[in-house]
Amino acid sequence: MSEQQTLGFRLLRKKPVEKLLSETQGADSEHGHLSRSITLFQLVMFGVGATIGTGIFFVLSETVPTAGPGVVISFLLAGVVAGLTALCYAEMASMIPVSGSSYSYAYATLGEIVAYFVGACLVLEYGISASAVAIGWSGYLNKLFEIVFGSGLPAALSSAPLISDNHRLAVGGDGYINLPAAILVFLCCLMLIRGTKESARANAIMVMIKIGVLILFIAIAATGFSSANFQPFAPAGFAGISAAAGTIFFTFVGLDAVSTAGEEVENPKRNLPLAIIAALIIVTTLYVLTAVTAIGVQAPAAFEGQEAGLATILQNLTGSDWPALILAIGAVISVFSVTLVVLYGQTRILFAMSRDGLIPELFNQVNPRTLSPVANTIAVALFVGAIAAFIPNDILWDLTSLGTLTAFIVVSAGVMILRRTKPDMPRGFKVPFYPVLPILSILSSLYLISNLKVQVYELFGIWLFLAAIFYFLYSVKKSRLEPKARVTRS
Amino acid sequence: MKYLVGYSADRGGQEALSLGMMLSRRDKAKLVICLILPRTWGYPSMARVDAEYAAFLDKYAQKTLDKARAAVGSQLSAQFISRSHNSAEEGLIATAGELGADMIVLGSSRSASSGKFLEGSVTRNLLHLSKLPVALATRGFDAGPKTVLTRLTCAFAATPKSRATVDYCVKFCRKYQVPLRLATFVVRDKQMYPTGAGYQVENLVANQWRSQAIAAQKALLAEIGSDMAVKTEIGDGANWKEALSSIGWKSGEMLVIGSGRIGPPGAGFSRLQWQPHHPQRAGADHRRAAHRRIFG
Repeated sequence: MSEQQTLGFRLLRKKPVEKLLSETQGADSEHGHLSRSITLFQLVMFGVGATIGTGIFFVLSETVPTAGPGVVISFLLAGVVAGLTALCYAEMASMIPVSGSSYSYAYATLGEIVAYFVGACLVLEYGISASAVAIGWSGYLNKLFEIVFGSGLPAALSSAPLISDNHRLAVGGDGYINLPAAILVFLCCLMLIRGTKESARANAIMVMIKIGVLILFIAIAATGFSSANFQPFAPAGFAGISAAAGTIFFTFVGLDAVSTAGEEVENPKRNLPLAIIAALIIVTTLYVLTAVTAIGVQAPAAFEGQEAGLATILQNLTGSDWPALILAIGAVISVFSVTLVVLYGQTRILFAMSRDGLIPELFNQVNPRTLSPVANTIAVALFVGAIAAFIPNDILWDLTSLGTLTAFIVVSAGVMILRRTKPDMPRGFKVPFYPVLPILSILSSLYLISNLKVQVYELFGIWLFLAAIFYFLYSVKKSRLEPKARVTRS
Repeated sequence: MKYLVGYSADRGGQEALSLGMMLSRRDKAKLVICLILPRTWGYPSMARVDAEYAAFLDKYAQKTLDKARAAVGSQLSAQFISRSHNSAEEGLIATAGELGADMIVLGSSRSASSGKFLEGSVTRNLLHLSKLPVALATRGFDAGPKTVLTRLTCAFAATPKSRATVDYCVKFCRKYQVPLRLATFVVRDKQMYPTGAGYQVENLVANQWRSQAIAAQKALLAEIGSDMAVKTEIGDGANWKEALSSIGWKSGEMLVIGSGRIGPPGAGFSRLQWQPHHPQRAGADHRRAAHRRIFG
């Protein structure tokens, strides 16, 4: 057996950056490169838009019971970690200006096995968060029905048959299927199959709706503020605060999207970190204000298990339906777009992995009629739809955070490894205060991970174990970097 | 061959006529220039209801067809007729059947901008109902007196329906000795925003489609056989306009598109659309792009 075919070589083989570039560029340079046209302001808005998704609409009911009013600190903690990792992303993106997922970065820098597992983490992050978001959407839709029609959907059709018993799945839910969540995934799937694109304008409208709705909530909730709800501030101590921060982390996912715009940004060395920090400040401020006013209106204990929390809070506070109605409509519209974007991201990451031969070719086949990866999209929709229909929400948020944090650790470590292994490779942007920031990024991510529940690790471990089996049985031999495979495919 | 031109007094009618003349010059096909008039109330009545309107329509038809006659001149074999019908599309289909036409030629909707094609209600319905290929003139199309059909470019989408379009084009090109070009388009305009997976991830999809399209073209060429020289091309661009422009067009060239999505099930060529492309003109690239609705 030649050296090229040893397992060690296979696990650590890297995808040449030139190959990555050629795969993600157009037919000619005119199509492949985008002109630098994004200003600092646009980039900040992009960061805010990509980050403020749906988490804030749902996350308080998961985290306030854990952290109490101290959840405010949890938001700050999660925001700092997100900012650190976003800076590391920016350096990585400026070195490897290709499709900006951590999977691609890892393949070019750390080797196939790391890339594969980063991909597996991203599947968890995107797939599971899409399911979680769809379930949250179902709650707000139900709220909307209650306000408009006087009653929501029957529990049998709007909640999962499984429940989370101390983060262990058990049978005993109120319903048979969470139908609205499954339908949402199905509708998004249809749109993606048609190759629907979200234009910048449509995205901007969604962002304005989301921010507008949050500001509406803050303004109304502030009128019913009671400081008594903040006592005791941290009933479970710092442990509760950091545990909540781990769960909250996913609400900052998307901030790293700023770094992927590296090639298009004017003066990236200055504007990328500024945009990340500015977006982070805006987002964190909105989150903290939402949390503070929400807790100011209702006691922490009332958050437990509350569906469509923000809308319910406003309804209880005002005794009127219209603020809750506006909030529920805003949530339903914006969450729809978020689910669409997350599902889209999932299909494209699987596409990239399939293109590299690490998962079956089915995932990179383009349908001639729609010019989109139809089989891939259907597979993702079935996976995400099934989880959304049958599994409860709380366990999903934590899994999402775990998957995301793991991918972030790899990127931060990648930055440090590349500073050693490729010190001369040109970098459009460098992480300031090196190596302090990447190390802080890794440590803080590890810290947030350490606060997640053991049962979440178990599920994550099972997922990685299954992924490992698949890798050694399939991917290692089918990889496009495998010499034999390359011959048969060309 | 016999081409039925759906004529009208407006610019759309002129464009259709110009395209019909260009097509018939190549194969000496007979042209039938047909004006579809609204049906009048033909029942006998004391008050001669609609008689005045009918008389007006007669005059109008004469005048309009005289204009067409003058445009055609004596070089081409042409017949000028008018028919009354409830709708233009039904009238054209009935007339095509009555006269045994091989193709219906239409102009673009007035809503299209110059050099583009936009289907109006007549075209849309005709594509639903007609069993014949439909040739569509882009807005402002005006072939010169010596312009002839120089090449067919067949839009090949690597689907079974698209294969039927290719078969039709191959037959046509063999019969009339016109060169054939197979073009498959790679369009990169479907970027989600934000992507969640990087700005250029859609290029990955587009490049995969390019590989699939090249393989499909190779397989098709092997089936067509070597007796006919067929050129293949991949049109590439950030949108349909760029993709169409990227492959270059000759004067008198026609783009043939299968419109399976809106057509009825049936013979492949029943859903063909033909579109002419103007010769390259400086600064006029953008005018040559077909409207993307056609491509779906």
